[in-house]
Amino acid sequence: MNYQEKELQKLRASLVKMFEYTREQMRKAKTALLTENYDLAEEVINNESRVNAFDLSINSDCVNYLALHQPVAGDLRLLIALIKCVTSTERIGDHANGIAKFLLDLNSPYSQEMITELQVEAIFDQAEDMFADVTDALENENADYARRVFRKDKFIDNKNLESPDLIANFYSQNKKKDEELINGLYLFRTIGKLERVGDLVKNIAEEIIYYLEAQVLSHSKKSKS
Amino acid sequence: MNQQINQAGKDQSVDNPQRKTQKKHQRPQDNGPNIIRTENSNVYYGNFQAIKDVTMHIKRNAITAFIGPSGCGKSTFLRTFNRMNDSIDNFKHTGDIYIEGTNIYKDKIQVEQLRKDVGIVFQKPNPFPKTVFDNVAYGLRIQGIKNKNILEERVKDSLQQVGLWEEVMDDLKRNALALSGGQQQRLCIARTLAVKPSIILMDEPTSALDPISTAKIEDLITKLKEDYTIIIVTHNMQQAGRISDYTAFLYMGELIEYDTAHKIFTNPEYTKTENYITGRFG
Repeated sequence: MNYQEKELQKLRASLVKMFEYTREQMRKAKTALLTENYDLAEEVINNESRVNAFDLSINSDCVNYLALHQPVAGDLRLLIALIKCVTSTERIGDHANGIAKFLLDLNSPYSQEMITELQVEAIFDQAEDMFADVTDALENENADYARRVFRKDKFIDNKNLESPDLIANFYSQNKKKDEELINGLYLFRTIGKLERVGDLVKNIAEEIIYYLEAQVLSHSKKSKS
Repeated sequence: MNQQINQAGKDQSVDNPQRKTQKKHQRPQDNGPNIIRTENSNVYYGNFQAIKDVTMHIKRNAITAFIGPSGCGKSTFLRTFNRMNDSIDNFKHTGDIYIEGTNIYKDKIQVEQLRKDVGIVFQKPNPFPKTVFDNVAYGLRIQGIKNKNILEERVKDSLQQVGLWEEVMDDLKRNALALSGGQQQRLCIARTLAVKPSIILMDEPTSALDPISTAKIEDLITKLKEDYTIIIVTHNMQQAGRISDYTAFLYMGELIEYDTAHKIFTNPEYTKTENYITGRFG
């Protein structure tokens, strides 16, 4: 392995670390929401700056590599993919931060019945599972792992689409207080954020496939499976 | 048509199963006429085969770059287009090379006329130890042009084409060797243009120049393709990517891959090409 390959391997390893750190942020946001753990929510918010630091550091290293080595072919595709994946991952970090902030903004805890009704935990798990797929895809340089996320994202999309009706029905049937309706709306926005996380993981998968197979899937309606 | 290229392609695909096993295009898909056509071209220096069964079509008014490691046959192949190898001991060419439909190794042609139509610029600027004017007018005078007005017009026109006119117009009697390296190389290109070739061969024309002079020559090359067909040998991958429309990768005398520069530098079909352009060769 020559020094350029070693540099690229380091950059790839940095992105894998960023994936893992951001996944942990998502996991903590989930636990905080499900267990009403406000300290953990604070921790997610405090650690958001570390996700941003990954973003700045990896982007800077990629720009340096582009300027100093002028990569072509697979190396160039890897650099382009890394830069785009970092941006998407940083936004996922923002969503974890946003979900944690919602929790701290509430005047009363989320309704556990509502959380169950909306399958919030399952949506979080699906997003995390998708994140694990793209991490595996990058670590093992296997586009098939990345392709798994397209099908999985449909579950999150469906849950997001179902959520307004579920919330409306839940409150009309249970005649809850206004404050709980506001909490329901926060939960709706949380699911919206998870839906965006799913989309961002999908974008990451597309970039990894571009790197590995030189196929551009962004804005493409052709089969991604 | 090109068994050798297909053969080379199959060999390369073995080490990367993700890559295609068959080459779809033996040459770039062209939407215009080809000016040069080689069919199973082989070059031998004695018992050594420097070029192996290369079939490729080169598009008119395009820049085609030849890349590959030292000794792969790039310069040898380039020089077959104006028969510059003919004077080398033990040189032998088999196969066909057609330029504008004429088989330059088999049809009866005048080599001097061929070299007028197919000019060449070398790695090291090689102006004659004469004035700027006489350098550019040299080929014209050999052609028998003596009319002063015609000579002046052609010299001025050639120097303008290479962007040197403004820099030397005040003193055309200056010795060409007093010019900078970059200016000398542009002068040599002007000398080539003066005899109105249709094809210009360039053998590493910027490898002896600084980045500013290189940029000027590259800029010039991209402008010249409007009127000329340019084939350039370069070791500089970035240069091939920047200026060429088509890129051919040669290795050990074989044409491994030949496609648009975009395809070669973003997603080459063959592992060997990728390894070479990313510096992992060997």
